[in-house]
Amino acid sequence: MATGDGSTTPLALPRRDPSSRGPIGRVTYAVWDFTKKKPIGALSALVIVLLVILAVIGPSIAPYDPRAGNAARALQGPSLETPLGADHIGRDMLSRLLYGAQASVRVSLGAVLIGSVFGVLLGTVSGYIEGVFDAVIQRFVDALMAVPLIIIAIMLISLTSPTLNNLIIALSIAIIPRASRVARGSTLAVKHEVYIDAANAIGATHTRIIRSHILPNIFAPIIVLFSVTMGGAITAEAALSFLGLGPPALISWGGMLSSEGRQYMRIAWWMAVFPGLAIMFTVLAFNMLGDALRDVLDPRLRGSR
Amino acid sequence: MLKYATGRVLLAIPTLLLLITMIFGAVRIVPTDIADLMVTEGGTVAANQTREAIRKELDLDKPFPVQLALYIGKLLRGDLGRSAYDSKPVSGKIADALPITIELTVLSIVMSTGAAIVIGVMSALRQDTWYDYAIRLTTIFAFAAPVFWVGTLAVVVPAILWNYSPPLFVVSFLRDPWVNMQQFLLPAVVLAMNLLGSVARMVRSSMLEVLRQDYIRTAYAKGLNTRIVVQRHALRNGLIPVLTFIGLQLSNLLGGAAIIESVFALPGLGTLTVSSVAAKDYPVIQGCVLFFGCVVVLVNLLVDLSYGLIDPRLRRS
Repeated sequence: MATGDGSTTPLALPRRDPSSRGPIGRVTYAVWDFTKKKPIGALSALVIVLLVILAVIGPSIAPYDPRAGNAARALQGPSLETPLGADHIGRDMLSRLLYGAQASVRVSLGAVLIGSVFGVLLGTVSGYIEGVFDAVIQRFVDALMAVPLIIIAIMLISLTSPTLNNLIIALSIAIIPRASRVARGSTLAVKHEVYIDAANAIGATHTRIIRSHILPNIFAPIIVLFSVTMGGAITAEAALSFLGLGPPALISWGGMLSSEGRQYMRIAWWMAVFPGLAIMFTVLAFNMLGDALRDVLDPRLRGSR
Repeated sequence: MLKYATGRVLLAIPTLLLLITMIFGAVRIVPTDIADLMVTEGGTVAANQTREAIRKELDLDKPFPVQLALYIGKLLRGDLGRSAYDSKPVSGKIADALPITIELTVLSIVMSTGAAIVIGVMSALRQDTWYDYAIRLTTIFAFAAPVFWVGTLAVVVPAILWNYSPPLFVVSFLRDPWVNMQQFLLPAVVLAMNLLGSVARMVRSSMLEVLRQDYIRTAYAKGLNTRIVVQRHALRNGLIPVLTFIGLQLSNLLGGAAIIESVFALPGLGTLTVSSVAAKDYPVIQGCVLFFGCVVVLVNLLVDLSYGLIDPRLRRS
């Protein structure tokens, strides 16, 4: 509690005594501990939280309509009126970047969620059962992983129409085999632990063992995978929009860099620089957070990779 | 070794078959009829062909297993079908585009691996010094920057500063190496930058592991200098996992190459795929995707097999 006499008693310093933590205290403690051990990882997490907030409230704080051109502002450089400049038909870059953040977050979060849920289920079951089933699934995974992620997505989008949902599904199909590989490897590593034997011995069903014993124990590598895959999905979404294969009406960071505006970039550097920086720092944040989480959650990997 | 090699080859065969089945299936399973798509959305593409003619050409009138069997049969004869756009053989189009993609990827693998080994080894030898941190920070940035953005900057910046742009039509290296390099060096460097980050990290961690081994201490103890210890003892062992890693990165690298080709307007496999998507030219899309997949499977098989040559321990077991 803050005392009235002006002393500098910290108001809400997280409790660092692990023995007396409630659910909220435990989370606060974990966050505090992580920040102390991995300041860069915590900074990355902060950037990601900010990005998600911007993606949600972006459209309501954007100063201009991102789709409305304005001949008077065409190719106007960064100024008070347009802080990050305007593009070749006078659309405000800042507003477009804010809307683009939403596209990035929606597509990549959707794709990574769907892709990792299916991938983790597939990988865990495959690793748990082993034998012929596993061998067959792994050949499928091998085959799918051989095709570059972006090429699979390009093919799937070409087969359907380029809508937001199809973009998400196409990317998630490309993510499934990669997520399943990680989950399978981790499952194989824990399935011979004593606690799995113990669960077997008391007659737990396979579903129960996978749900209550294996999944919680492979959670750490999956969280790391999630973070790193988010970076990959954001790049992939941007690349697809860059190639002109995203939804035509979608405002996205990749689309802002596409060939449409290329010829103007020679005279308007802000058109080439800001969308790219947005993608790079977002991907960087997810990668750094992934690295930091890996170090903290999986002590075996500390110092390597 | 023979048993290991045959095992690897036997694993690759079902993978290739599944790859063909899945890609072939994907093009036919989608809810929309591809013959319809090719006629309606392809625009001029298949204007001179009726739906029935397309169905017949692609064997769409037959049941799926028959279609697949016919397709695999044709594949084995090197026939990938004909383009819906100009009726030229797909295999010919791929063969035309292939040298460009190969030159681009080989150049960038060579550059990035060479640089990554130097950087990674230096980083490992000076672990936790400012040099190590600077290198790690740079490589992390290089890895996070999307290739199409760095590529775009690499096209735009020289144009702004020196009004320079690379020669327009691709010339083969044998005909005119100077012009060829002007066209390929920049995209290859951009692509290499992206790969450099992850490979350098891999070299660093692999070297850190090796440098802690007993035989390295022994090598130092008998009075060898650092250069010889690193070159003769550490590198040879440290690079084995790096080779696997590069094999596994090939898929990502080809994806990056596909994008960078579009940025630099190089008529390689990636450009072919992207332009076929715009034209809804399914025989070409299918052929390209399949080709990408098969190359990755086969190269990884070669990487696995080459262990025998690199690591004598494997040859004897």
